[in-house]
Amino acid sequence: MPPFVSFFLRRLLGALPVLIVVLVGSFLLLEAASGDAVDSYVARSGAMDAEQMAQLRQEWGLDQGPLHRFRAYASALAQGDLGWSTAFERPVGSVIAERLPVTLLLMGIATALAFFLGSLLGVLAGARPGSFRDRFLSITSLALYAVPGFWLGLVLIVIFAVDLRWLPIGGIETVASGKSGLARIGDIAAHLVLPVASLAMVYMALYLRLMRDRMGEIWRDPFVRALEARGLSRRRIVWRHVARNAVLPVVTMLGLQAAAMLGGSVVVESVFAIPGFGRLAAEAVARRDTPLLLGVILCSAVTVIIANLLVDLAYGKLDPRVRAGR
Amino acid sequence: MSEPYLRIRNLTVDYGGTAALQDVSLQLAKGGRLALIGESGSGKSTLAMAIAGLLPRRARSGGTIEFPALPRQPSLGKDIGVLFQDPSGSLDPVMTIGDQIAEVVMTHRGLSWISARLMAAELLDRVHIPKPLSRLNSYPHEFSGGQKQRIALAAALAGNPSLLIADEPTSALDTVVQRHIVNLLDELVRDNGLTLLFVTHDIALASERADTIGVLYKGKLVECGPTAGVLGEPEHAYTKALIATHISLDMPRRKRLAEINADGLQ
Repeated sequence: MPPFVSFFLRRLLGALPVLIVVLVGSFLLLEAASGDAVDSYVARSGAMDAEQMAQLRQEWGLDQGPLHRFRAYASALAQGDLGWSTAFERPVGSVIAERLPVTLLLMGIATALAFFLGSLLGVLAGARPGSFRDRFLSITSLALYAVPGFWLGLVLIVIFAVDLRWLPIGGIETVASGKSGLARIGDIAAHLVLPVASLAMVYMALYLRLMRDRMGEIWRDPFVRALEARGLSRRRIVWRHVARNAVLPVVTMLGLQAAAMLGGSVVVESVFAIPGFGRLAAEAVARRDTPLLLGVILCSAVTVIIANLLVDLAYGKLDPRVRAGR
Repeated sequence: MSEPYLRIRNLTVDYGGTAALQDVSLQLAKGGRLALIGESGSGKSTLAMAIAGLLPRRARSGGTIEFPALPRQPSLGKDIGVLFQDPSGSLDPVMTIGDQIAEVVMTHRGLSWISARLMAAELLDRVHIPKPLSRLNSYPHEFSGGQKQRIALAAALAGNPSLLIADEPTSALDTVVQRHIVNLLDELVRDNGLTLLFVTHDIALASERADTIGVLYKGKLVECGPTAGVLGEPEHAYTKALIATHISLDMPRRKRLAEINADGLQ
């Protein structure tokens, strides 16, 4: 087995206790809240007498104690079964399989864009700390960071979807358009432009500032003077040395941001009416759908763990001092 | 006397109000070895950095620094190599040493990447890094302090400069390693016909390796001349005091640590 595969597996195994704690904690929190899935169902559907409610509880297994239900859930989970969603009346696994890719696509593109554009602009700003370009980029990014993502999303909708009619208002693709292949990809891409832009612009500011500040610190490092003394061009010092050293904490931030991006996607998905993972979580809470919410939490936790693992691997590639310690 | 390699006239440097150098003039012959000695804050490093053109931006300087032997204004790396005190602070921690030396070779000698890498291995061999070809892809943290200083020296010489400025190159190293580095400097200066300017607070080192010594005190060059003359018959009171503080084992114990009384000088 190649060393990084075994490293990968070891890390996933090490994350198992974390997953168990997350699951038990979420289950207990849901139990502690008043009302259950049947109450939520009745509140939506209207009249239902006590006998029917008792029958529904029995059907959904809610007449059993919490310990029994958790055991049943855990043993099913051990066999790869995520359970039955009462809100969607479908297996949880199939609901998640439908929603997760949408959000991963949205988040993945937004994160990649924010990271690359943000650190690129950060290098431009940090190449000459205190210059006009630096101050302009820093102030613009601060203003951008102060803007709430949902508001930015609404403004983008008004400009590009309502007034200019260049892009669709919401959703992930045109409903029942019958498109397939490249046409469908193009359709989805057009739908993604605005939500990706509103997610990425806010986070881009974060990477820009981080990169710029770190470059400011690296410039004061004595090795930079040694590089100047060797007569290297300024461009080479900026890109190959200062930026290369400054990118390390930015990559760490990338892993930390994975979780925040999942949270941020709830808001953006609501604004753009995208049937994604964030909105699924909100629905699961509103409908008191315990198996669905546990499934959502589990998948988010695994996503965040994998994202951080990838970041750790990348960090090892970027920083030789870390690699030696492993 | 032939044209000197380096001629400094009335050099003055100040850092926003505090004068670091006042009216310093000196000459250095081609192939000469000049040691600048003095206590901390005497301006010896400032003088070295002024010659290299590496003064911090806030520094204001006056006077002239000329290189009559060079056909053009000297450029860093190509004509002047600089070696710093802290070996860890001389190398980029996340780039292989082979790349760090090769990029200097590429910048100044216009070689291709592969030839530059080979040249880097050759340079590492010249500074006595064992198995240089296999160490090209090693990172600075994989070497000891003394080895890092050798690698920094290889990078400083990669552009084939005619002047090497070494700013306390051995102060951060232990005694045995100091000796190795000093011997190596000696050897390279001799073999390549380099002109050497080194800053030190070690009088023994200066007397052993330099042919000219400049003594700096409070930003002034109080004495400058052949080593034997300066150390044998010092003219200035500060030089005498400096020599008196030098600890030597054949000196009576109670005289070893004499302090310099600044009020009694000048």
